[in-house]
Amino acid sequence: MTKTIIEVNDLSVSINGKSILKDIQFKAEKGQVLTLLGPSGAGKSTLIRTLNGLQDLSSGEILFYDDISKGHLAQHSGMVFQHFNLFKNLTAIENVASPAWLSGELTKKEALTKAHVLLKQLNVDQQAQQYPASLSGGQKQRVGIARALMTNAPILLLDEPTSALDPESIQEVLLAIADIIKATDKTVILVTHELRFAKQISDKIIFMYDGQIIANETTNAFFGAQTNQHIQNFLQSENAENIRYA
Amino acid sequence: MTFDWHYFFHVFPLLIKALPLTLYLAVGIVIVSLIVGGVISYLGLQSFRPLRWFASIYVSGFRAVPAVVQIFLAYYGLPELIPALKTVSPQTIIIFALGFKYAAYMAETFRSAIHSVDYGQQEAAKALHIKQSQYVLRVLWPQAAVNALPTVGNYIIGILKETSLVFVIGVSEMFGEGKLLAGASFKYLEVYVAVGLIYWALVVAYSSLQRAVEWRFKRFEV
Ligand SMILES: Nc1ncnc2c1ncn2[C@@H]1O[C@H](COP(=O)(O)OP(=O)(O)O)[C@@H](O)[C@H]1O
Ligand SMILES: [Mg+2]
Repeated sequence: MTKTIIEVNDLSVSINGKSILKDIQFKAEKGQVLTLLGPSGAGKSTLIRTLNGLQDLSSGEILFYDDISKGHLAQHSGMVFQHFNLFKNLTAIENVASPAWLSGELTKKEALTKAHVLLKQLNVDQQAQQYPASLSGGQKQRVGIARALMTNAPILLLDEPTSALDPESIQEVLLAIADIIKATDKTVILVTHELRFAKQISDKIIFMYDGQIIANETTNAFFGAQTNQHIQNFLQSENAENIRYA
Repeated sequence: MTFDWHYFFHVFPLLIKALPLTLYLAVGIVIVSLIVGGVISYLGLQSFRPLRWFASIYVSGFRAVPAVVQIFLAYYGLPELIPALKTVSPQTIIIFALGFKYAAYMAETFRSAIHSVDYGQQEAAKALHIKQSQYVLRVLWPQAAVNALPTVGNYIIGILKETSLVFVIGVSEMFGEGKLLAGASFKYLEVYVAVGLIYWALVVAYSSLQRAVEWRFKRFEV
């Protein structure tokens, strides 16, 4: 049984008069993992930021469906950032607690209790009392993921969660993301350049180029025979890159 | 001429008697400047333009007029306008005159400290449904305070030294006391060397306090 949870219709975004996203249209079903691929500057971050309410849309609509209502997606998603964006003056556990604690949803004590469970789940509970500055990149991002999970939102958005990490931490964070995906029924929209990972965990791939979606297919179809020139170029250059770093 | 060591050591306790007044003035000025500076920088960050204009006129005005002129204005000028001020002690006048002046510097410091907080912090707060007021209170202001600390510390040292200006309206804090002693004994060199040394010791003591506080916040590395 599948159920639509996100529906994006005719979405356009312009920033300072410059058109960044054009006619974006897609749907996601509950529990699906969607990966956004595309060259740098294609508009992946802008799309994620628009879904999350960090960027205003110029036209179109973004709908969120839960069991009873239709509403804005922004209130129903948690976000993981490329550069972590952990609150620097709060400890790891306070960071994780913050979405519930600083929104008034839970008391600080309740939020910290819940945060501890999430830190443990992401295997950073040893670092609970440390400030972000003293964590490794991989630890920072696992705290970032725990913090996004704290929102209880059914949708998890991740914008290049491993792009700022050194090669060892990349693997560690990818494994953590895969675990989360296995353990929850969250709908995930992920931007990444880790093609092998995308192939393993995605239900669908959305390929963006120059502010538009030019492919929206199942993972198998996408990584099968590709005839589109932009996609071929992208896959070739990314593969070359991956080999270089292998 | 010879340096009168005996008088030099004799004069220290006399000067140190005036130290509490120097410290009282400094603490008063610091408190007024932090509170008023906080309010001015808050106004300067509002979207309602007249408030921003008021803040920027305040800052440019109080920074431009020399401290001595402000003290004279407050002590001799303003009471003509507001007779009730005639009964206010010169110490209080000084605290407010210099407190309002340093508020302009504090406001500028706070403003740039707030601007230098990484915008990603605000984005994360928004993306994670944190209340804006909680973000400001728990994240933005604490980080801005850490950013502002070194500059505020320099102004506090400035204030400590600037308290010596009060002699111009006849208040005998440490420097004023020194002037009286020197005038009576004609041992200017001994007295002012002693005064200088006491200021030096004060600033060194304050600086190490400041460093301890900064070190405590180092772990945030904002
Ligand atoms: N705030 C902004 N102001 C102006 N242009 C922007 C802004 N944000 C993004 N862009 C432009 O939008 C395009 C898409 O950017 P982005 O969404 O970051 O792409 P991607 O994440 O796919 O690399 C780029 O050309 C970028 O320069
Ligand atoms: Mg991007």
